[in-house]
Amino acid sequence: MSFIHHLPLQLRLIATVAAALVITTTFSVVPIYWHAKSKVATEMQAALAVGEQVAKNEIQSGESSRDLSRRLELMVAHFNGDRHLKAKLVTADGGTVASSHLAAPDNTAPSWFQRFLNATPLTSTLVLKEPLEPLHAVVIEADPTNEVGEAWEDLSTFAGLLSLFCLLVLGSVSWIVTRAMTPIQSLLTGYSEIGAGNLKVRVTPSGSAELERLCHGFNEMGGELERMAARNTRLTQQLEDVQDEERADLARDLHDEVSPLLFAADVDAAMISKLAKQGGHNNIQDQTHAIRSALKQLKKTVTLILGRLRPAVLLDQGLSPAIANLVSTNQQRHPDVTFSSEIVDFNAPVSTLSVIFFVVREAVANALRHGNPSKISIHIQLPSTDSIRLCVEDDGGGLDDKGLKPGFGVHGMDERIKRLNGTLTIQPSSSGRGVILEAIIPNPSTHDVHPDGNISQFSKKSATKTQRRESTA
Amino acid sequence: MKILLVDDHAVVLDGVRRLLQTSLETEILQATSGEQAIELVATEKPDLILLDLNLGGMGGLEVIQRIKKCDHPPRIVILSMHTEPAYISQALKSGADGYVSKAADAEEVVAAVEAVLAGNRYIEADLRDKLGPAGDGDPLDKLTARELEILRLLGRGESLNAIADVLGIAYKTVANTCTQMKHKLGLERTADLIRIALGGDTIGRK
Repeated sequence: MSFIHHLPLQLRLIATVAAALVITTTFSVVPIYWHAKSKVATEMQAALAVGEQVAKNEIQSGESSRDLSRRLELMVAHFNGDRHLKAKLVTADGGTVASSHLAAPDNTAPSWFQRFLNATPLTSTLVLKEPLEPLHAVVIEADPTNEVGEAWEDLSTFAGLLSLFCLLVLGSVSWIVTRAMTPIQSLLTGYSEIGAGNLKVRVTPSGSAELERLCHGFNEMGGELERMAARNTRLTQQLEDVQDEERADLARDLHDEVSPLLFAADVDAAMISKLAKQGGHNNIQDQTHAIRSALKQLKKTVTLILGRLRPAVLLDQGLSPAIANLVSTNQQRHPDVTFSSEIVDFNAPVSTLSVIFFVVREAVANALRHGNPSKISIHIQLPSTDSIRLCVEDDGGGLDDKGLKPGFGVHGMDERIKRLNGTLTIQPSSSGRGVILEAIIPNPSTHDVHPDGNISQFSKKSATKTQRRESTA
Repeated sequence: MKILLVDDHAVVLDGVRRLLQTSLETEILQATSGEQAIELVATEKPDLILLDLNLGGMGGLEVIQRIKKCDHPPRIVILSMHTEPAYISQALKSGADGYVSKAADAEEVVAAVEAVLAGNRYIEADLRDKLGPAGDGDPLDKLTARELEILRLLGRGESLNAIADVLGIAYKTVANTCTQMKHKLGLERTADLIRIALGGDTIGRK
């Protein structure tokens, strides 16, 4: 039966209805057969009984009279045109003297049907007590031909009506099913299109109420997928921009800080070899001193560049070292800005820490790039046991009338915070100058289910330590 | 004879000063910014200026153009980190007489200064091949000196406002120039311009 499950739904429905009709038809034939068979038998017996009675009466009432032979002939003639009965006058050796004929049947059933109903003629022979040579007996025969013809006619009408009914049912079922399946077909096409990456595909809602809802659902899904794809593209773009910027910073440092020092060291080294050739050994001291001071600066510069490349690694030891590093790097580049930070260290997965770090870095970069501030403060606190609050505030130019322009990396920050089920708000600072960026994130370590939850929370809280830093140029 | 050295790195200035002093009989003046250099050219009238393109504020290309407007401008040799043909050809177009990169040997720096002082042009041997015939299809060649200067400042991470301040032009002019550059180079975003400015990732050129 399992092959039925692989048939298209349309065929399955139609096949089921057809099977139901076939079974019903088959079972309704059995009672019809029994009914027809018993009816034919009953009719024949009744007719024979009537014929026998008529013949007996005739024989009895005519026995005394002389013209019995004549009366019998009249009686036989009287049976002419009967639907079921035939009467015959026979001689002792079986010869027929007179015989009536049946009414011509309206319908003639096929002979197989007659055999099927097992309808054979019934006969009754009434032998005359006082033979009237050559008459020997009266034979009454009940012939089922007409009765079978009638049953055949009934059956034909019934079969015709049943066929009409079946056709109507099958026709309307397949029409309804085909119509209902049309949106499913377009949904199927739609799904394979989406699977192939065409997220713009939509289906026209049609069909039954459920299918229409399905179509609407499909369209909503397509829209959401498209929005997600666009969001991904935008995020990737932003990530690329951030990476570009980081690469630009790195290239700038190498270009502006490292290369000139290498050039200077090379110039002095070249002069040493020239001086050595000329015998000016006393002057070599100056050159080596210059080279060493260039190398000293180089080491410092390379250490700084490495520090900038390292924040992600530092997250392993918690937020404070990473943010301290971020602050000191920015401090070097912006000596006239006062940075302050107050960081409560807490246990959280590195993935959460890196989002917090990313947001702080973006916020600081935005403040420096667009606000020209004199102060930037970074706060990371645990206002309650189950949430983390991070806040970056500056006293720069603030938001302009139009609010935030795209490209401030706000979208990237927002996406990351949302992924942690947190909220991000950016608004003008309460002091009237600058911007305050605030994010509230659920604390993942307290949202874990611990059997000894309270104790673990308590110990975590007591383990947190606050680091306060102030750095001024 | 007076030579003016312009570089925003004291270490480089000192190194080059010692180099030129041991090789040439000359008085050496030093400046660490473009603005200071223009002032010294006006007051000291040096015979030659050895100029870096990457300066803190106003860049070298801008300095060349302003110096060229003086009476009796000095001969100009560029000593820069940049080895991109666009910078070389733009510097020469703006009026520089020599171009040596900081990747060159110390001896070549001296040779360039001597050649230009003798009235010749000098381009570092390694860079001559890069230059090729004029109009060899470098998209950056389509840029004017002013555009190239703005591009360079963008590459330094300066905001449009800061660039406008440095060059003493309106913010709108800078923004328009960026749009023009994007159009000339077939770019869409300012981020792409910055990438070009870094020199590592240029369009249409390997």
